[in-house]
Amino acid sequence: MQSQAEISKPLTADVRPGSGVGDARLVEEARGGDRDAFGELVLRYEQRLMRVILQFVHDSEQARDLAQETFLRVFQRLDQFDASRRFGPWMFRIGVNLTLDFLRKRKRRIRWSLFSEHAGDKLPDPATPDPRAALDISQEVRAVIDQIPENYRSVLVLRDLEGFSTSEIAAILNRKEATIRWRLAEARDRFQGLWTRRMERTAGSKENAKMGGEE
Amino acid sequence: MNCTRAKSEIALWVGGDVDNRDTEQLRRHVALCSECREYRSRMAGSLRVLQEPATPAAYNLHDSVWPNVQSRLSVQSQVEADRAERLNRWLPAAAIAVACLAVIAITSEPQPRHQRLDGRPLLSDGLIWQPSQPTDLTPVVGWQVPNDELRLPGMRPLSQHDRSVPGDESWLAVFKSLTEHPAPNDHLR
Repeated sequence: MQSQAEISKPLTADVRPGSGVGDARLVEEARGGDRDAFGELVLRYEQRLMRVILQFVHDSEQARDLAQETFLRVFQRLDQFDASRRFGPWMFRIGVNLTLDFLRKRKRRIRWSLFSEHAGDKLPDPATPDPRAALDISQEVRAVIDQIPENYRSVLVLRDLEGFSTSEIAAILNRKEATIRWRLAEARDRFQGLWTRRMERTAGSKENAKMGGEE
Repeated sequence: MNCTRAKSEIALWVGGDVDNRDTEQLRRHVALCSECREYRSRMAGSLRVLQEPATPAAYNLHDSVWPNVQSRLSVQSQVEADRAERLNRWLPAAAIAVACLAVIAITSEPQPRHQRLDGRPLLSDGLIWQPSQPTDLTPVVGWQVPNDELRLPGMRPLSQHDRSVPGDESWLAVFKSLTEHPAPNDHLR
């Protein structure tokens, strides 16, 4: 298990051993058409980008596709990059926006498919045990995070699961830092409320099951 | 600090997102307020749970996306090169066509705008000058005439402002043509 300290690396990626070249230099070279320089940037950031995307989509193949798409877009938009700013937040902004767009589209598709199906098909079978009981703690946490609205969820994921600072999140989401702090407080409060209720429900259902077994 | 503000700050405090001054204020508030103390405890617990499973699916550099990105970039640049090549193939033909049209446009004699084929003048945009309707051009006080040389009796002289009125050229053409035709009011005299 990875600790919070380990994932809280600075947003500007470490220079890879043997390369010794900063991001700004690599971006300049990539802008000039140097594919190897861009490859260096990809290798520097892909691991963290994949991890961030995985926090949202929970599917490694999908995350890989989104990461690839992110780097392609980054390469296509290198001309639009303001060289006076840091490359990392700009790249993550493209990746996070792409991921959130993907999630919105998927949500719309799911809604549409639910709407088009017969309502009777969706009723749970009372004989089947609640599948939530089988979820482990991390899946429980994910299920709760997924209930939080996107505006707050993205801040919560980037801060508490990925360890970005609030100023970095402000740069990634293109919002003021005060807005990010407010959203973070709200997101933590919502998570806490949802988590507490979920735990109470789980404890209640376990109690009921125990009492039923004794009878 | 009231409880509403304290709760908002507590949510940041448990994650280490407040500065030292606010931390001190919060400590003092929590020491006095049992409700906020309880809230802090619940918030810290949920944050611990949240931060614990912070490891999504394992990922290592063998799974690098760079080879795929590289090949897709190559495909894209190939497509762009093909498009540029197609454009370059058509460009000379298009340039020749445009040049031919330009030559035709320059060498063909334009039709005079203010004159009909029978030599009578057009007033403007298709209106035909009819000598049998003399009242149409009866001079009135204040009627602006483009050129002092063409001023008829009863017309005021032109000011600098009048000369700059757009459309002078078309009026000039009309009045020049008038000098070659009988004056409109001649038959009344």
